[in-house]
Amino acid sequence: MLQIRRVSKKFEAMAALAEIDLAVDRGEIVGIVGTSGCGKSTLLRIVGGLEQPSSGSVVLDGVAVAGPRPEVGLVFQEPRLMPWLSVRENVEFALAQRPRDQRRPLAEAALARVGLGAFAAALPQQLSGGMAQRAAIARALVARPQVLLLDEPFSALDAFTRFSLQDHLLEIWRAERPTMLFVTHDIEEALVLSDRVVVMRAKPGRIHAQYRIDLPRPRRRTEARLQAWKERILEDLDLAVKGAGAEPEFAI
Amino acid sequence: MRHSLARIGRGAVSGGALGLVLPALLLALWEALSRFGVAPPNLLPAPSSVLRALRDLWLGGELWGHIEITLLRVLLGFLLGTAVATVLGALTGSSALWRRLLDPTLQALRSIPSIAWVPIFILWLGIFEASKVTLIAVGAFFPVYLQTMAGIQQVDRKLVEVARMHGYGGVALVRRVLLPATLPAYITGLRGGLGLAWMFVVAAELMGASEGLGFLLLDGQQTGRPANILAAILLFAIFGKATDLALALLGRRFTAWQDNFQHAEENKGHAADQARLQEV
Repeated sequence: MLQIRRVSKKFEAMAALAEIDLAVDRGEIVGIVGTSGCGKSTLLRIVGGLEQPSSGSVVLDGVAVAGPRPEVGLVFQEPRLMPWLSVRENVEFALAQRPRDQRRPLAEAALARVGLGAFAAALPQQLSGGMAQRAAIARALVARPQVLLLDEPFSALDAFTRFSLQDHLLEIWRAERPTMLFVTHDIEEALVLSDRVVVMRAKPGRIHAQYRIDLPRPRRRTEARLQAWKERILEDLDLAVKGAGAEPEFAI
Repeated sequence: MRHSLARIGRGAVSGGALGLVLPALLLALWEALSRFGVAPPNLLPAPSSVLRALRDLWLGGELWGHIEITLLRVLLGFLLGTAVATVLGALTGSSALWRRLLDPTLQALRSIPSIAWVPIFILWLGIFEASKVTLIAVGAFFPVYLQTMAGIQQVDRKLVEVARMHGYGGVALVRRVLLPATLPAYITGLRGGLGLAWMFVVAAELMGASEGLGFLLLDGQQTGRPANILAAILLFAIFGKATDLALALLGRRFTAWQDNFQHAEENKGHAADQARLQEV
């Protein structure tokens, strides 16, 4: 279980995050939505150990997260593949702690899972954007992390590639059941993927509402109930602009 | 695909050959002007007499000695300058503290025309090899230093973050990320440094040497043998180009992943095609 306990983050005098409390169950998929500047990426980076909270703590199975650790994988908005390494070597990059002779078969298996088995020897610059992002997902998953963090992982991709990668991510999740915490500004993406959607608002960054999405998967993007949630979340975010404050009905 | 490969092939061949047309024409013109006495042979000897001078020098047995000592000076000076530049560039590139401490001084030194060091180097180090090698080292230093610093500074912070995320730090971070990411800039620096090393070896040898290709230049002038001067120039061109090519090829081995843009774009299209086929 992943627990975010009263996490605050200040940059200079600006409060980026104010007392975030969030508990994520093992194997749960939580999507965080919010306008830019609400600190959602900062929160993810704190959970990943790339940044330290100004106060509060992140606890994974009873152990406080003090820095990057192999139990937590992170997929960035960009693939961030090392351009001088082949696709397979990029995946092996995440296996430095494993014995040398295990790395190659593990990397190849991870690439096969994301459908890139035939491109193990290719260089990153030879891949399309969607393929490169799949390679990045393979790298994040190859060490079998318990928690997978994704920071707007599909936002740089076209809509079709995005849909197919969303489906793909769910397939991987069904097979390996990692806890997934992802950030997006695509509300629909959050609704299609998540068990729970967390809505964040800015100034200072805080959790405004949470919705449990108890629809069976696979979900249709056009499903009426998803659209209703989408409207509600849009209202949540629009309220932030208008400054009025009504309690959402579905808030947990 | 086959079509585009053929196009590239043809482009490479005609591109290489095309570059040789002008020099060949100029050589022919030069030879003709000399043969027909338009150009005075005591000022501009024909290409054929330059080649003859080269052959005579070779048969005289002294040529290889001159080449050897010049190559040795270039090599030593280049290695010395490169070694110091690599260390200082790595320091200033990776640490703002070192950069603030060292870089202003080095940039100030850079603005001194390096030839201006010659008298003081001769005073300090004597007229023999030490002052020459030092001058060449100073020449080779700056391109390598600047490129090393810039190369390290420009390493993508996002890639470093990926490495941190996977537990890399210290030596492993340097070896797996910083070094390969810096290598292209470093090789550019090395090639620039080598070019300047060749420039400075001429300066050093013109200043006073009893052997070396630069000495041949001076000797040719003082004994009124322009063919020897041109022969020495030709040798500088050949060895300068050859050593640069060697360095470039060595660099390519390590930075093959960079390749050229066009090649990458074509492969990208190709790979994407394959991906589509797979998905269907």
